[in-house]
Amino acid sequence: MKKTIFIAAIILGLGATTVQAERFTPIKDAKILDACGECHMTFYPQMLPQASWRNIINDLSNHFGEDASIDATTQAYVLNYHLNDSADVKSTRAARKWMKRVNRAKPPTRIVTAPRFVKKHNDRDFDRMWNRLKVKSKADCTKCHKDAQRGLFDDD
Amino acid sequence: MKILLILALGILLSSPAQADPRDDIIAGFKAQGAGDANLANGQKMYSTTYGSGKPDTPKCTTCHGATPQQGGQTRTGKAIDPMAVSRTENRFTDKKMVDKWFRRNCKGVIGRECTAQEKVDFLTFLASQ
Repeated sequence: MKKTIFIAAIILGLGATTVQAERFTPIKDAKILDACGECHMTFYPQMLPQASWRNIINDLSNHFGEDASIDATTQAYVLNYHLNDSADVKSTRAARKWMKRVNRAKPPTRIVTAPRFVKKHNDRDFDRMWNRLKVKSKADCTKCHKDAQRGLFDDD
Repeated sequence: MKILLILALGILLSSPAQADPRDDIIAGFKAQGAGDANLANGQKMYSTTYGSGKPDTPKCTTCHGATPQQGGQTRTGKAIDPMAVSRTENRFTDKKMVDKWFRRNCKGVIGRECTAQEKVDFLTFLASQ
């Protein structure tokens, strides 16, 4: 009996972790790791809808203040990779979460302005973490989310 | 001992034949009209605040280390290896990378493409560091 309760508790515990955690498939595509990951963490396509990715990847010479232009072939590959896995074409839990409250007529211009990001990062605890760890940029997910590159965004 | 000497001699003699990929890259810029390297100009480029490119990146050291021997950080917080070849051995050995980053960063920092001469100056200065 005791054993059963113990096992049930473990299963419940595991279940709870799975429910809370934000999971993405880790990016292993060498071309994406090279083209995007050279300058920043490779962000997950499921964080933004197709329209957002189209705007971002078609304007790489003005990439959030930098010239990140790449050759046309690579750019087409990167765009296609993101469009195939965008938040509005996937039905994973993460994709659904990241589409919530997204204004489709005015898609987010970047991940940090997506409703899901704002919801998860605008409380006082976050500001405290932000100042304490001297995070250089909100794009540096791995500073707080140690497993971000592995697709895990637990509340660290 | 004799064998060692012969080996050493062999290495010495064969090293000029082992082409430094940087030489090829520099030769390419010279073919585009660049002359010999001006190291002082390369050094000046590294530390100049241009402010004529994108507002967020007015100088090389916005992202690269304050000196070529120091590492830097992208604006997104990712580490950048030192630019000095003595610290980062494979710097400027891949022509595609060299071309890509000169194109992006000259436009981003100076606001225009660098001339072939500037590229030779900059690359040679950092190879000497």
